Parts: sequence; C-alpha cells; structure tokens
Amino acid sequence: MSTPVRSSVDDATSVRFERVDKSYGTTSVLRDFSIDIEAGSMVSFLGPSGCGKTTTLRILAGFEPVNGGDVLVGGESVLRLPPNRRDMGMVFQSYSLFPNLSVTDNIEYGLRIRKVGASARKKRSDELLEICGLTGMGTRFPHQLSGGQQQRVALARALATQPKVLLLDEPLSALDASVRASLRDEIRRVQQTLGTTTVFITHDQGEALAIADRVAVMNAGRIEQYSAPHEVYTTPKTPFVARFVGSINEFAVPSSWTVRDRLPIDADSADTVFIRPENLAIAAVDDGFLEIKRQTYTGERTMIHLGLPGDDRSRWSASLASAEAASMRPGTRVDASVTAAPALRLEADEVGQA
Amino acid sequence: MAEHLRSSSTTVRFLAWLPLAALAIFILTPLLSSLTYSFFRSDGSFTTSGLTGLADSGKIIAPLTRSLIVSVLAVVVLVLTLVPAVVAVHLWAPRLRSLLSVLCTLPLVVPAIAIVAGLSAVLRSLASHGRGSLGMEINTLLQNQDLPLVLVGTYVVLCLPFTFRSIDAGLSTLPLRTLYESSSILGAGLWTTLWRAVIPNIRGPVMFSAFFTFALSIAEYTVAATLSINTLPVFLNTLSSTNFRGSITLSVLLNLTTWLLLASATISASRFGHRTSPDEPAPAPSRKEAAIS
Amino acid sequence: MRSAPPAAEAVDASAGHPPARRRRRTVSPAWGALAPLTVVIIAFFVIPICGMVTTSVLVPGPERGSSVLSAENFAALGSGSRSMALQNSLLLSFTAATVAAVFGGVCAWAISTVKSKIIDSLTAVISSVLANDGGVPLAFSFIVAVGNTGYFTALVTAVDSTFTLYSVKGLILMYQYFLIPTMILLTLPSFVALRQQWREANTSLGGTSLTFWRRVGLPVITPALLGAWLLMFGSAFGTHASAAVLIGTGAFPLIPLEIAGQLAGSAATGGEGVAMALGVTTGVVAVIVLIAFNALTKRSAKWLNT
Repeated sequence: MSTPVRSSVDDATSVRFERVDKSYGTTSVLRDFSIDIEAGSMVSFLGPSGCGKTTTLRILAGFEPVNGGDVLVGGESVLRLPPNRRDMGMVFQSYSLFPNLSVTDNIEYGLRIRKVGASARKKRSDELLEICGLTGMGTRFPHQLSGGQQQRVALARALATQPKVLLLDEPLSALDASVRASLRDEIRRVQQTLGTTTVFITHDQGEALAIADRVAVMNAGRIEQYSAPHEVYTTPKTPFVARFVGSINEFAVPSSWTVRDRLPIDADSADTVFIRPENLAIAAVDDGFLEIKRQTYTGERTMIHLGLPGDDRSRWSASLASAEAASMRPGTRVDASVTAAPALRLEADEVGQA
Repeated sequence: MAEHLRSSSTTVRFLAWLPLAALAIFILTPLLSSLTYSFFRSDGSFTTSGLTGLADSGKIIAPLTRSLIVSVLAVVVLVLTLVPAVVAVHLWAPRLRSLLSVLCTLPLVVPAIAIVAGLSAVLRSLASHGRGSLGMEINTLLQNQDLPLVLVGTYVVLCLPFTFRSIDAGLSTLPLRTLYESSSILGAGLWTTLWRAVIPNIRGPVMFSAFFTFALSIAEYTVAATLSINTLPVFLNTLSSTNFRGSITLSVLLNLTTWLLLASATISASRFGHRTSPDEPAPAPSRKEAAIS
Repeated sequence: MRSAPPAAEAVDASAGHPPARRRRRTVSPAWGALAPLTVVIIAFFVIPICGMVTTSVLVPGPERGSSVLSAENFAALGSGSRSMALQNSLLLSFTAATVAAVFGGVCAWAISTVKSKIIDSLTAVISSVLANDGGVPLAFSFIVAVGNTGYFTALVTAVDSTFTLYSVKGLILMYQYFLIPTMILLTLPSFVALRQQWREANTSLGGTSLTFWRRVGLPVITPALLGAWLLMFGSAFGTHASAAVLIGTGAFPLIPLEIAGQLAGSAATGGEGVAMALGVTTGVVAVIVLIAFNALTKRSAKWLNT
C-alpha cells in the first residue's frame, strides 16, 4: 500500500474526489469532478436524472471504474480496492434485502463475512434493530415488511459493519410520500447518532435540503453549487440552481435597477434577477404592468399567479399570506416590487450563457 | 484502475458462452442429421427419393387429410370454447377463475398416455352395451376413422394448460371490468364490447392458442396410436419399416412444420401480447347496438 | 348491463355451441359461456379419468358380468415386467431430469449472464418450441444421428463404448432434447430475477461472488430449480411417443409403453385393469409432482417479488 496522501481533510473517513473523469464510450458523465466531504458529515447530491450523481456514488462504492483522477477516503486512494474491500455501507433505491434471509440475518450478513462471532453479531444486530426502530422484527422476512421497514433494515444492514462511508442511493424514492418524510428524519437521526460520513443521492430538492449538512447541486456532470442547504436556497450561485431548487421568478431589469425600485417590464432590459415568490410584493394599481391570472390556495399561504395583460399564460408567482391574498381577484392589475435582495442577479454579459 | 471489475466480468461472460455453444450443437445435430439423411445417400450423392417415394405411394393422403381435419377442428373448438369461458370468468365469476385454472392445468401433469388409457376404458364400456345401443352409437361416432372426434376433444384438453394460461394472462393485464363498463356507458352492447374492445386486446394470446393447438394436434402420436387411428405421425411410424428414407423425410417436414407453428405461436404471443388500450380507439357505439340495448 | 336477456343471448351467440343454447334461460351469462368448455373437459378429461380409476379398482366377480372392488390390479404392478417397468421409469426419469436440471440450469445461468438480446429472443422462441417436442420426429432424428448406423454414433461410442440409443442411456440422451429447454424455460425467469442490487449489496458488505451464490443466489433459486426438476421428472415419466418409436414394446419396459402394450393386448389377456392401474399410478405421480411444484413456485415467487 502506498504512503497515505495527506489532504486538507485528513480524518479517517473523509471523502475526496480529485479531478475525476468518467465516460461511457464517448458520452462523458463526469468532467474534472472534485469535491471534499468532511468526515462525519452528511452530503446530499441533488440533480435531475442523468446528471451523474448516481455514477459518482457508484464510483465511490467501487462499482464503476474511472477514466482519470483519484478518489480518496481518509486521505488514501481507494481506486485500487475492489468494492468488497472498500468498507462502505450502501442502501439502494429499490428493495435490495436478501429475500431468503430474516431481518436479523440480513443485518448480520456483513458481520458473518467478516467472521464475527455469534454473540458479537447478535449484540450488534440487536443494537441496530433498536437504533433503526425495528425492535421485535428480527425474525421476520423481507416479504413480510412494508417498503419503509425494508429500507430501515437495509440501512441497519449497511451500518452493521461500521463502514467508513454510508452511501444512500435514492433510498426514499420508492416509498409513499407519508413514509418518506418520517424515514428521512429517521435516517438523519441515525446518521447523527453514529457520526458516519454519508453521501445521500436524490432528485428531490426538499429531501436534499432537509437531510444534509451540505448540498451538492449537480448538472451535466458538474457541481453547480456546494454549500449549506439554506445557502443553496437563498443565494443560488447559478441560474440552474436557482431554477432547480424551489420555485423562482425571473425578471429582466435595466442594469440601473435596484432593490428599492419597482419591477419594470422592459423588453430591452439588460440584467436578469431571480426572486423567490415569498420575496415578491404586489400592489393593486389601475395601470399595473402585471395582471393576476389565478390563485392557488395552499392553506396558510396562497400563490398568486401573474402574467402580462392580454396574455393568458401566467409567468410569475407571488406567495402571500392567505388573508392578504383574499382581496386579490383574478383580472386585477398590479405592480410588483421586491421585499428582499434577489436570490441571484445575472449581469448583462452573463445572461446569454445562462 | 478498477481492472478487477472489467476483467472478472469479461471472463465470466466468456465462460457463459461455452454451455450455450454446446447446447446449440446438441440441438442442431439431430436436426441436421435427419435433413442430410433425407436428401443424401450414404455415398454423399443427392437424392429426392425420400420425397418422391412419399408422393408416389399415395398412402399418405388419407392420414394427412385426417390429421389436417382433426387439427383444424381442434383449433376451432378450442378457441370457441376457451375464449368465452375465460372472458366470462374474468367478467362475471372471478371466484370460478381458480377452479377453471386448476381444471385447465391438470392435463399438463396427467400424461397423454394416462388420459388415453382412461378414454379407451370408457370407449370399451360404451361398446359393451352391444350393437345398436346408445353407447355403441357414441363409440362409433367418436372413433369414426374419417372424423375421429375423440381426437379433437382429447387434443383440445391436452392444449388447455398452455392456451388457458396465455389467454388468462392476456386478460389479466386488461382492465376488463372498466373496459366493459365504459363501453356500456358509451352505449355499446355486450357483443360490441367483446368484439371491439376485448378481443382485439387478446389477439396475441388467441393467435398463440391457435398455432399451438394446431402444432400439437398435427404431431400428436400417443393418443392416435393407442386408439388405432391412422393419423400422420402414426403413418410416419408404420412407414419407417418399409421406406425409411421416406419416413425420415416426412419426419423432417413434420418437425419443421411444428417448429414453425410453435415459433409463430410464441412470436405472436409476444408481439400482440402487450397491446395497450391507448392505440386502440374506444369502441364507438353503433346505432344498431344502441337500438338493441 | 342494462337488461339481462339480450346480454345472455349475445354470449350464447358468441359461444355458438348447442350446450350453450340449452342454457339460454339461466340468469348469469357466465354459465352460457362456460358450458361448452365444461362439456369438453368433462367428456374428454373427467370421465376418462374417472373411468380409469373405476376400472383399475374393479376385477371380474364370481358371477358372469359382475365386478367386485379389489386392489388386485395394483398388486399385479409389483410383479414381472410391470415392476421392471416401474423401476426403469423411475430410474430413467430421475436420471434424465437430474442431467437436464444440471445442464439446463447452467445454460439458464449462462443466458442470464451473457445478456445478449439475440440470445434472449432466440431462447424465448426455441425453448418453448423444443419443450413441447418429444414426438415421433424427435426419435427419428436421433436414430439418424446416433442410432446403430447414425452419423455420429462412432463419435459417441468413442466416449462411451457401451452406448446404444436403444437403452436407458439412449433414452436419457434423447429426453434431454426437450427436458433441457423445459429447464431453461422454467428457471430462466428466476435467474433473471436475481437482482443486480443483491449482488452489489453483497459486494458492498464485503462478500465475493462465491459468497453471493452460496448465501443468496442459490438459496433464492433453489425452489425454482427443484420445481423444474420435479416437472421434468413428471414429464419424462409420462413421455410415450418418442420412447415407443425408439424402444417399441417389450425390449425395455417403461410404464407408458407398458400401458400401451396392455391396452393393445387386453382383449386377449384381460390386461385392461392392469393398464388402468398403471395409468392411475402415472396420474398419481403427476398430481404429487404438481402439488409439490406449486408449493415450491409459490415460495420462490414470494421471495422474488419482494
């Protein structure tokens, strides 16, 4: 084994991708891909399907070879290690439990391979059953469990060997919406209890923001932004991130426009500003440049859909407290202004690239 | 980098071709052997004597016609009895479905030889009532050499396991109840619904059943031989003692015919099997139907 | 359905069979549609089976024309050529099914591994075609290939000098022609259903592919393999046509050949009862096979569908 390469994050379970290239045939999936994941933290990789997030995970797991670059865990390259010696736990999208083994046997699978004695195995699996909220289900078989329970077992199985890194490949996407949120919080709780470095792959932005310490938003094989969840939402770095995470309004404004100004509608405008619906204020004005098209009531808040007069499409939206929205009838002309700095402002010369 | 991944799976994949190659040789050898034997003498010269020998004797006509008639009848009877039964069970009597399934699967495990043993016992007891009795009448009717109805019935039964499964599976993928109800609401009568909405969607399984039944019926030996009815395969076996090359030639032809039919059956099952309703326009209520219902 | 009578009529018309018409007045149209098939099944399956069972347990009584209940016919199976036939049939079916299970299983694994679209569609067609083979042409083509003067006989006898097609070895070889495709047809879906995620989960937990097959792969497909073996055993046990052409009667007694022989000669020897007893035996073997097969497939279906 070569001498460990010391990197800035040198804890035993930190993960680092160094300028990784990956292509299938002539299709490039990852280009010059680099990221640092701090030991003990949870990072979610968020992106549309085909953005390379799953490939990243599979490279880390050892299921996909790379074309260039390096992958390090705890400062040591793992590329030469076969997947069964990388010491990673993995939870798959669909139910990957071994159907012929009981819950306990599934959890103890990795321990058996590591020739752990029966009593130690039992102790560990009991511990994990409890941590993962599966107490009393040890003797059941996968087909007797619900989808959510199966994923808990998969999580317990992945954690049983105390892996250096836990890899979660869209573990919630096959579940019902109601189970999803509770299992998401559960996974986060277990991860924080055990302090396992974790990579969580998802295409669901809500999930990505809710679960992770940091979010890596990916697009076409690149990381667009890598920061804390609230930063991804409030200050997206690229139009892609702004559009992919949450809903957003885009207005073309002159370069002289400031936050205090009304939002004008000017075809020759130069800059583009991105504004969250909750930061858009509207006021009824007889000759307002926008028109209310319809409302969507969602309980506490109501979404007001706006468009240009004489055009049926609604192109923008403002989120108002429902009480406030009550007076906003469809057909009303309004003017819009912003209540906070735009999430992102693109200068004229950047607009073309976006 | 991760050479272990590529090399091991490539080796395994290469190894996997070996048994497949062996299997291909095993499958092709007897087939090519009889093809060769049909058209080449032992010294390697080409001959069509097998083929012409068949045509000359003229004895082949009767068994061939008999087999064709039996096979066609078996197909007709099978389709006309099985399709309505399976549709009815799906539409009105879902509880009878498992019973029908068991009944239709049993002939798969009870071998033809056992069925024919039972059949001959019944036929004999029918005949034992003596000349002129109803039993004797039925016996004669069933075993009529020109139109051996007993073979038609038995072949239908022997084909049930495969054809039932095919049609049952085809109907299971259809929202039959919804189709029937929506068609009724649009004003179509039962017959229109069945004809325009149900049958087109199980075209694949029905075609499979037809091909399969024909193939099985034309090549069946056990039942016909035991009941001493001279069908094509029975003739084939008797022919082998007098004209071996002829019998091999005939056997190759029969074999290829059956294979072709069975292959068409399998292909039609998969090609038309998953017809989805979107490309099938909703059954339009015809004025005539509306008037009737 | 707005009114019952026209609907019932429509079904009757679709069935187009006399038995259906007689049932015109029944309330549910289902009966009309079910009647023709029921008649066929009863006439050509239920009655023959019942007839067979009845005949097998009856022997001529003391008075002329009377019959008494007796197990005599079944007792007769334990002696002479019948007992030989039973032994031979069991040996032949057991060996043929086992050989086919091993080789067919390997082939099914191979097909699931090479992942070639051409092979997949070829398999779908060819295996279902060959699995239904086993008739006269099959026997003929084997006679031409490896019979006494076959093209490849020298090749086979070079490997095994005692080989002759007209023996149990020959029959085992010939039966492979339809048993191996049956095996592939029955087990390929299970091999395909072995999920990639299971392999990867095994690998990420530190297992090798040996570990995978030992702890997960084989246990999961074992029910399917056993079920297929059973079905092939039943199929080999009941195969008559190709064996009849190859062996004829007498030379190498087998249950199906014995039944045919007894039926043919029964007028003279009174062997009908014995033939029926043999038929019943075959049927019982078949039903046991089916029940066990169903139990096994249910289990593997439960596993493979989680």
